[in-house]
Amino acid sequence: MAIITISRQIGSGGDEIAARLAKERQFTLVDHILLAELLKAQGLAKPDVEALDEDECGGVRQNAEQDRVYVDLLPTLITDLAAEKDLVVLGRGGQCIFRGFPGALHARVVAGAKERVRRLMEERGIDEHAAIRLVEESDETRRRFIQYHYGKDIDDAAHYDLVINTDRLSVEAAMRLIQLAIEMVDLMGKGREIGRWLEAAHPLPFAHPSEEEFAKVLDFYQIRWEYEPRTFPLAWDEAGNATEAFSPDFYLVDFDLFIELTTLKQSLVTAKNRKIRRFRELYPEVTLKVFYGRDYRHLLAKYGLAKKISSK
Amino acid sequence: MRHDMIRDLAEVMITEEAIANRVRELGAAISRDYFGKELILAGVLRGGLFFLADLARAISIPLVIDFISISSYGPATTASGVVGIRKDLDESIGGRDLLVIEDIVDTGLTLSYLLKIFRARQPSSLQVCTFLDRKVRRIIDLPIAYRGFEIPEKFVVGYGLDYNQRYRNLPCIGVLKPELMER
Repeated sequence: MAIITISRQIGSGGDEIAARLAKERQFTLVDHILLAELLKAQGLAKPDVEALDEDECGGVRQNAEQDRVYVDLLPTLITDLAAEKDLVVLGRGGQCIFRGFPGALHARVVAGAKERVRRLMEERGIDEHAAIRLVEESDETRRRFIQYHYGKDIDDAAHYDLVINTDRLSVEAAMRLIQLAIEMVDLMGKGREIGRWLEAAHPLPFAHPSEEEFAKVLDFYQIRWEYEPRTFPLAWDEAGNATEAFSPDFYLVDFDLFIELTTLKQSLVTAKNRKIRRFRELYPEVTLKVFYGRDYRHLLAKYGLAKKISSK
Repeated sequence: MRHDMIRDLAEVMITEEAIANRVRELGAAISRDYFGKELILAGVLRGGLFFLADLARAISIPLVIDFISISSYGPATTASGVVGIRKDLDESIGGRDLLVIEDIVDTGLTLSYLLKIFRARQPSSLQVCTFLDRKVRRIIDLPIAYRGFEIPEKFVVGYGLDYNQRYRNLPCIGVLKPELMER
């Protein structure tokens, strides 16, 4: 699907441009309201939802859990949405999430500080001092947000296809420029490639769907894991080169625990059992839990997933 | 009604009498260990309801009762889901002695999440009391201070534990007849 990302300075008119563009092209507007709804649908409590948004956190939060959820969850929610709908993504690092996707057009809307202060005073009925402070704080928050979560400079023009200064150009003119760019780059045609792009941009590392499902369970319970992070040699030739090795599927970081999912049929388990016995002899200090076929099927049944996964 | 439910069982694993005796023993142990402390029992809904009610009455020291409910992973969970608190504790637990009351601990995944969020609130002590412990399914080992019964790899109902939200009010722990289970 086609994606338009709008990065904007406060008081630049970017919010209005994004909303009108979405309406005119019948794209879904991904803004604070929609994301709050999506986060709530994930079962997050309201204070967590508010704390997870860019204007609230500004990338300066101290809560590592929330940071991890933000980094993992919000981009996933947005890309999930992009697989189904044409989007106008307002802020939230859209230009970084869809960086390199040919079906995305990235626009940045800016204006001079004086003009933005004047507009904010008029729109919000605040005095000049308050408007200046608002501009400074918002610029800093958004700059830090992009730097913190994506390691990018929000003001680097290289991230955008269009940078529009609304000092002299009206909202209407800015929209026409973006519409023109959409046609010139054949955005709608290229947007059809989203499925393949998402697969290439976010490849799944897993060798088997059962491992992917297990990783999802761990993610759900916010348990930090690494996939096959370490290979343990089990046998060596005369020159000391490893001739046999074992790489447990998962490592649970906080519990210093390796997990091996062995969902093979019983007849195929013998060779693996021998490997695991050897592993335990050689590395008695390493904690390893092995889930055999029956254990794993019970685990899946507990979560109602048994029918989704075939045996490994 | 109770008669009908008993008929649905292939086996009674733990009788009503055995439960009552064990709950009394646990209550006595907890009363002794927490004597002079400010004890809060945090029941995990919905399964822990009956156990908490009986256990609280078997404890002889003053205590505060509270509840928490969190969402579980399941087929309805979206790919990017994270565990959510449906109902949080009403009590502030900072500097107080918290005892988490679970109906059953099996994988340890739910409990590890609960302990993480409770630990962050800095209670003066944090322990777990579970009615049932199904160790064979454990993924994450967590310290359990009090346990009612250790049970084998069988799906059980009763005394708070359900099958499709039914059988929680069965006064014993039993194994359902296989033909009554869809899976």
